[in-house]
Amino acid sequence: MNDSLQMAADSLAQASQQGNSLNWWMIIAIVELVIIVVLLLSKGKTDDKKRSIKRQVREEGDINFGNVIASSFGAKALYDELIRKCHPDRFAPDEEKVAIANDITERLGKYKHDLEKLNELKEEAIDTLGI
Amino acid sequence: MPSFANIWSRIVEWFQDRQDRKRLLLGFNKSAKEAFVNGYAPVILEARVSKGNRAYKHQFSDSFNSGFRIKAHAGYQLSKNDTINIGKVVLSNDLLVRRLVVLGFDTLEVHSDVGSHGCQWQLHDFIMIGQGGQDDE
Repeated sequence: MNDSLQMAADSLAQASQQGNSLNWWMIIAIVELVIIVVLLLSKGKTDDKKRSIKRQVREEGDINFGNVIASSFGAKALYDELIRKCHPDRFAPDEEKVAIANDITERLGKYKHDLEKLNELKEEAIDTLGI
Repeated sequence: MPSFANIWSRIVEWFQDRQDRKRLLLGFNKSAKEAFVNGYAPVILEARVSKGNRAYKHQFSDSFNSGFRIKAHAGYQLSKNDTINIGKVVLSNDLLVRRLVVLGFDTLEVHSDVGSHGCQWQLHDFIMIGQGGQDDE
């Protein structure tokens, strides 16, 4: 009889302990739910304009990361070389070439950090200015 | 009071943004590894998400992690010029800057794996949404 009572008391104690731990998890879950609902209702006011901007930017296509990485280390040296070789003063007597050199120099400044564009400009400079 | 459909679209959009951010980072890191292996880059660059700078917040900013951090695995401290040059290349790419901004980034950070110095830029200063850029030409 005593053993049975003891076992019943033990199981009650275990059940109450489990009940306590379940309540804690329940409280945490409710707090999380409240935070999510508050964030959804108050933060992130995604209006139609923001959505359309996001869609527009997403549709712009893939980014050429290879060019970004290569430009980080190779663009400066190529820019320095081209800006020196294409300087308009080097073609002073030939007015046509001076105009082309001016145009190329202007575009060099615009694409200073873009290795792909700089390579295209180099090809153009070789063809038109013979550098 | 937003409707259920509105809330649901926000949840879907949030997950889509997470996916796009992850894809952007994976794309950058994959290209950085390839550039190092092929000899185009002398160091490996690694992009990751950081806390960012609260002062650079804009209307698209992520609530918690709004920094795009580029770490150069060089084994030595990069010079200030090299660090600035990497940042300028990223900032001169209009398409990349626009993508970063709409994905919730507001800060660009560049630093090397050695030393405690680095550079920070506010992405909002370099954005040209709706104007097109050099990539559109």
